[in-house]
Amino acid sequence: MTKLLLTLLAAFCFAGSASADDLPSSLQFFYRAANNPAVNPVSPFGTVIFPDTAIGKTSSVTFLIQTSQNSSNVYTIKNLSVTGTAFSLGPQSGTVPAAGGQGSVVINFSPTAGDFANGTLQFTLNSPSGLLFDYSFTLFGRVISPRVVTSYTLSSTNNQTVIQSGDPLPFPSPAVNASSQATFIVANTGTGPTTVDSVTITGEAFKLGNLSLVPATLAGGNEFRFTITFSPLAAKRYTGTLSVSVGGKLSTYTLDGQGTAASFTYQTITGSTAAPLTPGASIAFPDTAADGIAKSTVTIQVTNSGNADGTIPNINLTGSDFQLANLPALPKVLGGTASATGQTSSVFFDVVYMPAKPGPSTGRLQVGNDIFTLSGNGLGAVLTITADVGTGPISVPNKGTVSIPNTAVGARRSVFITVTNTGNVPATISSFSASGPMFTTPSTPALPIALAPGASQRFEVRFAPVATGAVTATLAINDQVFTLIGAGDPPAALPAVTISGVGAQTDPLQQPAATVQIASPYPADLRGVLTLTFLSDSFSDDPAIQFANGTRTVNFTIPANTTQAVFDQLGRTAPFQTGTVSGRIVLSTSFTVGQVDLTPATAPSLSTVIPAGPPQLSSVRLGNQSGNTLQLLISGYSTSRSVTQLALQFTGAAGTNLQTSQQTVDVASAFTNFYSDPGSRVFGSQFTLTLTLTINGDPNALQSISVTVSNSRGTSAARSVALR
Amino acid sequence: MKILFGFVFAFSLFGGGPAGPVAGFVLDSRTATIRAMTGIPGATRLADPLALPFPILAAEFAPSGDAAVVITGDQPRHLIILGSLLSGSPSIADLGEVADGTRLLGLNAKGTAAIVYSPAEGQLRFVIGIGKDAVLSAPVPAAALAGPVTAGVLDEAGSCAILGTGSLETLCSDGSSRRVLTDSTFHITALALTGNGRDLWVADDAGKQILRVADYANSSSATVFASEADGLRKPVALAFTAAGQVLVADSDAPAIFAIDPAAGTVRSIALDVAPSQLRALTDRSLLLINDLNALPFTLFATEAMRTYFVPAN
Repeated sequence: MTKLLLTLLAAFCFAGSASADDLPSSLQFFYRAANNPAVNPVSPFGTVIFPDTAIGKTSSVTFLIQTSQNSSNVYTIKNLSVTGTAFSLGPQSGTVPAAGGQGSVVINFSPTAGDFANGTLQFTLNSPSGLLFDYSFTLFGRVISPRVVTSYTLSSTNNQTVIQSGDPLPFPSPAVNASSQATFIVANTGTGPTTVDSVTITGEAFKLGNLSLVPATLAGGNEFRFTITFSPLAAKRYTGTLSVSVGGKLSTYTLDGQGTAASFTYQTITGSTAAPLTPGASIAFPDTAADGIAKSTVTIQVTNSGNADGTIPNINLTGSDFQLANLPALPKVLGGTASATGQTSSVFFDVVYMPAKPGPSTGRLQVGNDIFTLSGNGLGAVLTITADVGTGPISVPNKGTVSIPNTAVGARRSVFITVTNTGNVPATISSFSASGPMFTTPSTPALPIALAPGASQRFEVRFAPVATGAVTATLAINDQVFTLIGAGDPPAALPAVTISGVGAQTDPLQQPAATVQIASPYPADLRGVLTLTFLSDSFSDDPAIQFANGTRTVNFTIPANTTQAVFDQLGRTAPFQTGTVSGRIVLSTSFTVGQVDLTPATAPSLSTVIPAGPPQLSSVRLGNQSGNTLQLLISGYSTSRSVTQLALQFTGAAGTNLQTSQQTVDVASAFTNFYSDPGSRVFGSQFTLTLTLTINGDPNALQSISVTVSNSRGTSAARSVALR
Repeated sequence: MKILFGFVFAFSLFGGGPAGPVAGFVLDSRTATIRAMTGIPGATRLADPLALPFPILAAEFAPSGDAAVVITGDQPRHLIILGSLLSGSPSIADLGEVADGTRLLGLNAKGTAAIVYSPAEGQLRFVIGIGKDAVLSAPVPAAALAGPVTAGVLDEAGSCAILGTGSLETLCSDGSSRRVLTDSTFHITALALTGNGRDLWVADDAGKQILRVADYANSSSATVFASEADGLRKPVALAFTAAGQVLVADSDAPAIFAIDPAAGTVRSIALDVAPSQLRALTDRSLLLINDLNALPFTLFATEAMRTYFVPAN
C-alpha cells in the first residue's frame, strides 16, 4: 500500500512539471548500504530499504542518482528532504553529473524505538533547461531491538505467569521446614539481544538456585532461567525482593510466601466450664468417690489452631484409674486455618476418672507428642487391718490369714486387731465378729463405731482352743473377712484331786457340802462334773439324795490358776442331802479342758456310808382332836426301810393315874406294805404315821404322849407331844 | 384321881397306814404353780406342781396344810379357795373376780378366814368360811386409813384386820376401825398375833425395830423388843416358835433374829441367804424363809434353829 502511494505521488509530480528534453527516464536511481557494496536499483516512488539497525545505532544508505551515458545534462539536486524521525540526511553531492555521472545523498537511519521505521526521501532535480523533476522515494528500515518478558512458573502448578517489575511473586505455602519453588524466566522475545546484568534476592526464606553467571547475554528468542526456593522456618508470612537487571533495566519483584504448620491447642471441659490446657500441664480431676461406681469425666478438646492440617496419630493413656472414652477414629486429621481439605479443626474425647481405691491417683495422657499429667483423688474409707498375735502388729490384707501361735487347750491367747481408717473420709465399723466356738471377741465396744480418717480402733479376738489340733475361723470386719488359724496343744496334766466334805460315814438327813480341790493351780479353766451316785442297801433308791440343785450332778469350774472348784449356781461348795436310806454315797469327778477329757483312768471319788440303824422320829405332832379322839402325826425315817413296832408312853396330868401307861403296836406289816409300795420310794425311808387315839375316860387326864419306833436294829429315841 | 380305862388305836390317813410326809405347800412363782414340799428337814424335795387349770399369782396356805386362798395369775384375776391339797386333786371354789393388784394379807390362825386388800379400789374384803362354804364379804372401804396398807393380820375370829398403814389400825368387816398406835411414822412390813390372839408383834422397817403391842385390842402402847442395836436392819417377816420365841427375818442382815419375850433377849442366826419370809409349813416348826426363785431354804425352828436347803429342782 505504501509503495503504491509513492508510485502515485511520483506520477503526479512528473505530469505536472516534466520537460521534453530532460526526460526523467534517462536518470537511474540506486542505493547502497554503507557496509555493503551491493547497489540496489530503485525507481521513483520505490522503496529504499535500510539495513536492520539497532536502536541507538545508525546505519547509512547512499542514495545514488545516475544520469545516462548520453545525457549531457547536469542536474542540480534541489529541495532535498527526508521525513520520518528515524531518518536524517547526510552528506550529498548537490548535483548529478551528466554522462553517466552519479549524484549522491547519504541518508542516515537511527531508530530509537519500534520495530521498523518509514519515511520519505524527496528532492527535486533541476535540469539545465530549468525543468524541475520532483522525485519521491519511500524509506524503510527495520529496527533491531530486544524484547524482554519476565515470567515465573510455580512448581506446584507449572503454569507460567508473566510478572512485571513491582509485581508480587506469591509462593505456595509450604509446611514449615518444607519448601516451594518458583522458576523465574527472563525471556527475550525481541529481535535484538540484551543482557541479564544481575540477579539478586533478599528475604531469609528465599534462595536463588540454578542461576547462571551474570551478566549474561540474552539473545532474542532466548530465555534466562533461575529458580527461587521458599523454605519457611515458621508458620508465618515471609517477604523478600527479587531484583533482576536486564539490559540495564532493573526490575524488582516482591517475593511473598507463607509458612504453614499445624498447631494443636487444648482445653478441658468439665461440666460447663472450659479451661485452656497447655501441653505438659496437669489435668486435675475432681475428688471422686472410690466406690467402683462413681466417676468424674473431663472432656478434652483438641483444636488445630495452626494454618496447616494436623494429624493426631494416637491418643494414649496410662494410669489404672483413668480411662479414655468417646475417642475419635485415629489417626485424626484436624484442619488448620488455611485448610483446603475441609477437615474440622477440633475433636473431643473424654478422660474418665474412676478411682479403684481412695487416695491420690496419677496418670499420663499423650495426644500425639503432647503429654499431660492426670491427677485425681479418690475419696473413700479404707479399713486397714493389723493383727498382733504377740509379736507385733502385722498388716493383714482382706481375705488374708492371721496365724495364731499354738495354744494349749484351756489356755487363752489374745490377738489384738487394730482397724485403721487409712482412707480420707470417715468410716464406720458396723460389725466385728469371729466365728467358731474357740474364738471370741470379748470387750468389743458397742457398734457401730465411727472412725475418722487416720483413726484406729483396737479389738481383741481371744483364741481358747477346746481341743487339740488345728482350727480355723473367720473374722469378719464389715465386708472384710480374714481367716484365723490356730492350733490347740495338749493341755497340762491334771494335778491331784481332792474331794472333801464328808467322812467315811455320814448320818442320814444331813446336808454336807462337798468341795473339790486340786493340788496346785492349773493354768487353764478346768471344767468338771461332780457326780453323786447312791448304792442303796435296800435296793431302793432315795431321791432325796441329791445336790442342792435338785440333781445328782453339778458342774463346776476351777478357774485358771486357782485350786478350788466353783459349782454352777452353788458356789464353792456343793451341798447335798444324805437322805434317809442306808447305803453308800459316792461322789466322783470328771475333768475337761475344753473338749479334752482330763479325768484320770480312776476318777477321783469320795464315798461315805449312810449306816443302817434303828428308826428315828423327826416329829410327833398333835392332829385333830375331837371329843375323846385325837390324832398323832408321827414322822420319822428308818434307814433300813423297816419299822416293826410302835411304842406309846402315856403321861398323865398331875394328879391322875393312868390305867394304861404304855402301849405297843405291831406295825411291821403296815410298814412292809408301805415300803413295798413303789409310791413310797420317793420318800426314801421317811414316813408319817397318823395314829388316831380314842381315849376311854377323861382326855384331860392325859398330859403327854411319848413315842418310839423300833426295828431289828433297835429303837428310836422317844419323841413326845404335849397335850396340855 | 382320874382313871383312864384304855385306848383304841386306828391308823388313818390316805387310806390308812404310813404315808410319805408332806411338809406343806409352797407357791412356786417361777412357774406360777403350787407344789408340795415333801419330806422332813434334811431330806425334803419339791414335788411336781399341782394340776390346776390356772396359774397362781399369790397364795396363802391354811395351817392345816390342806387348803389355800389364791389369786389367779391370768386376767381377770379371780380369788379362789383351793381345798383337799393333800389329795393331789384340789377342789376349786371361785369367789369371783378381784381387781388387778389385789393382795392377800393373810389368814387367821385357824385358817378359816382371810383378808384381801385392793389398793386400786381402796378397800378391804374378808373371806370367811374357809374349809366349809367360803364367801367373800362386802367391800370395806379403807380410804380412811392413815395410809396404804403395807401389812396385815387377821384376828382369830376372822372379823377384824390389824393393818400397818404407816400407823397401826384395825378395820373390821362391819366397817368399824380403831387406831391402835397414834404414831404414824412406821413402815410396817409384818404383823403377827401371838397364840392367845391378844398380843400383836410389829415389824417396823422404818424404825428398824420389832414392837409388841400387848393386848392390842385395848392398848395403845408398844414396847420395843429388838432394834438396830441388836443388828436389825430390814425386818420383813415375823413368826413364832413352839417355844414362844418371836422370829424375825431380816433381809439385809441377812439373818433370823429370835426374840425371847420372856427373857428379853435377842439372838441372831446368820444366814447365807437373804430371808424374805417366814412362812410356816404344816409342821409349824418348819418355816420357808425365802421364795423359790433362788435356792429355797427352810428354818427348822427348834432349839438348834437349823436351816436346810431344799433342792431346787
